Amino acid sequence: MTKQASQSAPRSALRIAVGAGSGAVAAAVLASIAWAAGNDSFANGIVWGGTIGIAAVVTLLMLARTRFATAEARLVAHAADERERRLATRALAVAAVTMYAAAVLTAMGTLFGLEAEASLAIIMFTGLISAAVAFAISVRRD
Amino acid sequence: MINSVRDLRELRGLSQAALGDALGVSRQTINSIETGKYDPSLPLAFAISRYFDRTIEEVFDDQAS
Repeated sequence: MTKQASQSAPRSALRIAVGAGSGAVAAAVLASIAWAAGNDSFANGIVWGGTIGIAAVVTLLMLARTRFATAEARLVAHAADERERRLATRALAVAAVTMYAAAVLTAMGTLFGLEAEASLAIIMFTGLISAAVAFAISVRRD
Repeated sequence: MINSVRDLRELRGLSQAALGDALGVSRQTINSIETGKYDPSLPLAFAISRYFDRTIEEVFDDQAS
């Protein structure tokens, strides 16, 4: 094993730790701002969403360094090959279309009393879930 | 587009994972290319052809029905 290769594992572990720490600090600051503004449910959403998101990304980054790496893990670790990047682009296109549809539906929903915060959450999670599902399906089918 | 990647790989006794490692792509990508589900980019098609010491036309055929 070369010196460069032997140093890469600790370095990437350090990068993962720094990235996760930075994400945690950013989430904590945003949650503090939301709490200070009196929006407790929004702050709790940031804390839970941030925690789950950071844990998911760290898990995928750790997985990407093993021989059991999945396409999702390689994508998060910027180690995806050309086919996986192409499928990810297609999944993001699917997400864009579904988010547009969600935006239209939630805009109509506001006419019937749907709150603006709920509309934003619906649009955001529609995008996240549709991108993840579209990628997971296409990478195993195509 | 059809190709002879599977035949060439098996001729050399390579696994899909080994060929993927040699070309810098995943085993799944090699499988998708062999089954015709994925058409590789031009740089990857050239890399595959060079790896097997063939011309790109000998490995990939876009005229076949």
